[in-house]
Amino acid sequence: MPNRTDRSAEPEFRIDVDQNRFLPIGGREVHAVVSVTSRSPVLVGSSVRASEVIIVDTSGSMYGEKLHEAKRAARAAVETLREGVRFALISGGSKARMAFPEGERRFVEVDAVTRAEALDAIGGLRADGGTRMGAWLSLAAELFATVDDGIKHAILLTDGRNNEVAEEFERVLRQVTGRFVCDCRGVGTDWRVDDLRRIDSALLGGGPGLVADPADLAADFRAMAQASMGKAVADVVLRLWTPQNSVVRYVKQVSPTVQELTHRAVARAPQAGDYPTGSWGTENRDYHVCVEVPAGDPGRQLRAGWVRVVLPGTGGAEDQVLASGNILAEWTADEATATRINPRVAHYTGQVELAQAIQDGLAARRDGDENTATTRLGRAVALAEETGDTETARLLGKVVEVLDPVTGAVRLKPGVDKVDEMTLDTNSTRTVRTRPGDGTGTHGAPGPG
Amino acid sequence: MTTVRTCPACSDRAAAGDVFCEGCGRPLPEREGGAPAERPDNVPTAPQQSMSGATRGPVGGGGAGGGPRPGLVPADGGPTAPQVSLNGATRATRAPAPGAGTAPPAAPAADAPPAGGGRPRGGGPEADPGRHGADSFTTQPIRRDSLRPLTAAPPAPAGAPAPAAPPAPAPDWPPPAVGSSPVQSTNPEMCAWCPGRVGDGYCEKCGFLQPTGRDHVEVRTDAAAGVSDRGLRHRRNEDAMAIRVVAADDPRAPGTVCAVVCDGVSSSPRSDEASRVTAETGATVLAEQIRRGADPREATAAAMTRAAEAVAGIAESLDSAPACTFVSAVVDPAAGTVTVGWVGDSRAYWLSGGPRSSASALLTRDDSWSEAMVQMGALSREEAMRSANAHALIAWMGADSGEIDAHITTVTPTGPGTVLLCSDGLWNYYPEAQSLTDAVPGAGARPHEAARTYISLALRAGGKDNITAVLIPVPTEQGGPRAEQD
Repeated sequence: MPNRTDRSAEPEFRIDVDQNRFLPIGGREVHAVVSVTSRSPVLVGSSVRASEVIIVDTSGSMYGEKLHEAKRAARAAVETLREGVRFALISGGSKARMAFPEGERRFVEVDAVTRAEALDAIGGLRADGGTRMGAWLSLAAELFATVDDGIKHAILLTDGRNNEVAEEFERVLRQVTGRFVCDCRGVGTDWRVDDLRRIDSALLGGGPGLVADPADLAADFRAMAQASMGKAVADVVLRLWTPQNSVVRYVKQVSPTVQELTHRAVARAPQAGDYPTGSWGTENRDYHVCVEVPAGDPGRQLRAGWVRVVLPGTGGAEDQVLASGNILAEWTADEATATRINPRVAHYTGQVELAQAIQDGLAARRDGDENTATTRLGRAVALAEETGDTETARLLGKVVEVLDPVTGAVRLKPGVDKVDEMTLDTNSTRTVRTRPGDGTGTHGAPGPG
Repeated sequence: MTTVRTCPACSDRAAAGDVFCEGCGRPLPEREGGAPAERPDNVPTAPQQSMSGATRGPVGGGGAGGGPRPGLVPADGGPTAPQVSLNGATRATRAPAPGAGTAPPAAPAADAPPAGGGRPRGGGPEADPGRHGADSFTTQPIRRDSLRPLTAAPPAPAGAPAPAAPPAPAPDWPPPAVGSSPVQSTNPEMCAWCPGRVGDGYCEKCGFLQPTGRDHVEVRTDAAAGVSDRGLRHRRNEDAMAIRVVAADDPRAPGTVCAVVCDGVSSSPRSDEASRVTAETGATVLAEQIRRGADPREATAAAMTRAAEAVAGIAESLDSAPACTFVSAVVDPAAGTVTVGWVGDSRAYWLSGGPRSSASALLTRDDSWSEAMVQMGALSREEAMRSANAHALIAWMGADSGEIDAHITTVTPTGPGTVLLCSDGLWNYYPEAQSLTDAVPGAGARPHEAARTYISLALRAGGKDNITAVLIPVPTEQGGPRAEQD
C-alpha cells in the first residue's frame, strides 16, 4: 500500500483482479473476480456528512415484547450516532409517520439535546396498524432528498410481511433505488425473506438479517449504526469499460453477499457502465464480472475489461478515479492453459449457484414440490461441501438429512423449525470470501445478529 | 372514494390496498379497479425502407473486355539475371569488400544448382558439413534453446529520430542520415489496429494491447506504407523494413520511393539485428544515391553492397555471423520504372490494380534450394515446396555468405497497381501474384490498410513466421508520365 499520509482525509481503494486470462482459439467469454478493498481514515466529528434514518415497524403485530425490544434497539442506534450526524426516526404502520422530529419532515443534527429528545420519542412509539414498507421507504427517500451529499443510510426493522400490492411495492422500489443505502432486519418469523431481499437489492444493503430473538436487536442495531458511522464515502461506482463489440454478460457482487448488478449500469463514460456500490468504509467486496469479447488472433492480448472505482463528480466536477485494474484476454492454442479455471472464479461461481439452489429448494419446499426441493437442496449441500462453506452446510443440515455431502444425496426433514428455514434462506446470499490471489476459503464477515 | 373492506374469512376490517388480512393472514380478494394491465407499447412501426439490394450493383467480374493487357517491360535483362557480385567479406578478419557498384558481372550462380546440392547455407569451403542439420539453414521457425533477449532497441521505424544511445554496437550505426527524408512512424498514441487512442498501453476502443518494440511495427508515408509483425509462433520479430521517400521538391528525383525488406535468417545469431542494420543501411544508401542523381540500378547495387558490408560488420566471427535476406524497390515516378534488387527469398510482386494495368507478377526469383531444384528441372514446384529444404537459402547477406550474387531488375509496369515487398511470412500463404492481388482488392488505394490486411490474413492463416509487407502504390503520390490515370 502506498503511503499517502498527505491525503489521509481520503479513502484508499485498491483493485485486485483474479482470472485466467487465457482463452482457447475462438473463445469469447472472459471471467474475472474483481476484489475492491477500501481503507477509510478514522473520521472525527462532522468531517463526513452523514444522514441516518431509523425505520421501526410499529404495526399491530409488534405489540408487546417485540416493540419493547425494538425500542431498545432504536435507542441503542441513536446512542451510537456521532455528534453532528443528521438523523430522523420513522414509525412504520399503514402509513409512515415522522416519530422524530415529530410531525416534521426534516433531519435533526445529533447533539446532547436532540439525542435526549429522540430517546423520549422512541419511548412514545405505539403498535398499531398494518405493514406498508413501500410507504416507509418513500418517506425516507423524501427525507434524504433534502440533504444533498454525504452518507445516506437507513435501518429498517420489521416483523411482518409487506401488506402492499406487489406492483405498488415494486414501483416504490424503482423510485427509491440508489437514493440511499438501507440495511434491513426481520425480527421473529412472520416476515418474508423475499420482501427484505428486494429492498436490500434495490438499496444496496449488506444483506437482510434475521434476528430470531428480539433481545438481540439492540446489539445488532448498535453494530449497524456503528458500521454506518464508519462509512467514509458514498455513491461509489464501479466503472467497467469494455472493448468495442463486446457484451457485458453480468456484473455481480459476490462477497460479502450476492448482489446482482448487471442491469444497474448507467452509461456515463464512453464504452463503460457505472455500477452503483453505495457507501464504503474499511471493507472488502468482490465482484464476478463476465464479458463476452470478439475472438482475437492467437498471441494477441486484449484488455477485456477495465475496472475502475470512481467517485462521480457532482455539479460539473470531474469524476475521481480511486483505483483501477485490468481484466485481460489472451488467446492460445494450448488447451491446457486455456481451460484452466481460476480458483476464485470457480469458488464464487459455486457460491452464487449455492445461493440460487437454496432459494429454489426452499421455495419448492414451501410450494409442496418435494422432488424439486430435494434435488435443489441436495445440489446446495454438494456445493457447500465443494466450496468449503461450512456455515451454510450446517444450516442446510437443519432442513435436510444429508446422506452423502459429496453427491448431494439428501432427504427432506419433516417438521423443520421456521427459524432454521428462514435463517438458511436469509444467509443464502452471504458468501464465503476468498482472498485475492488464492483459492482457499476463509470465512468472510460474520452474519448479522 | 372511501371503501370499507372486510376479510371474507374473519370479517376483520381491511385497509384499502392490503393484499392479505392483518388478522387471519388470508389473502384478500382483489380490489376492483386494480392496477390496469400494462399496455404493450403498440406504436405502429413505420414501414422500413428495404436496405437490401439497394446499393449492390453487379459485381464486376466479366472484365471490360478491352485490348490486351499491358505487360511488364523489363528494362533490360531477365528479372533474375545476376547483375552485381557482392563480396560478403568471406574472411572475418578482413575489412568488408570494396564497393560493388562497379563490380564485374558475377558467375551465373543463381541459375546454377548450388554447390553441394542439399547443403544450402554455409556451403562454402570453410563450412563444416557435419556441424549443422539441414533444418538449421531454413528461415522457417527454428526452436532455439537460447533465444537472446530482445535488445532494448526501439523498433527503429524508418527515418525516426535516431535513439539517443543505440544499443547495437554496429560499427557504422546509425547510418549517417545524409538528408534522407524522414518517414513518420505511426503515432504511438494511436491504436495499431483501429482508430482508437492508446492509454495505459491498451487501445481505448478495441482494447488490444499495443505492440512494443518490434513485435508490430507500422510505417506510413504518403507514398508507401509497411507493416511488420512478429507472427504467432516466433518469440521475436526478425523481419525489418525501411522506407525512404525523396522529397517532392528534390531537383533530381522528386518523389522517388525507396523501400527495403529484410528477413533475419533464424538459424543465425542476432538475426533481428542483422535485418534491422541491413534494411536501414539499404534504404538510407538507396535514397542517398537517388538524391545524388544515380540511376536506380546503380543506386540499388550500391545500397546492396553497403548493406552487405554493414551486416557483415556486426559479425563477431564467421561461426557467429548474423544474416538476413534483402529485397529492395526503387519506384521512380518520373520514369515510371520499378527497380528491384534482392538476395535470398524475400520477394517483390507487382499487384495489378485493374484490367488495363499490367498483370500481377512476381518480380523476384528466390535464392532458395527449392527454386534451384525447380530451375534445374529436378523437381516440380509442388515437390520442391514439400521438401524439408523448401525454404533453405542458397544466398543471403552476412559475414559468412561468401561472394554473393545480387539480382537487380527493372520493370516498367502500366499502372495503376502496387509494388509489394514481403517476407516469406506472407508469401508462404499466398505464393501466386494473382492470389495476393485477389486477397486484398484495391490495395493501391489504401496501402496502409492493405498492409495491415495482409498481415492479418497471414496471422489468420497460421502466422508461422514473422510477416512483413511494404506497399508502394503506382502511380506514386507524384504520379508519373507512364502511369495511366484510371
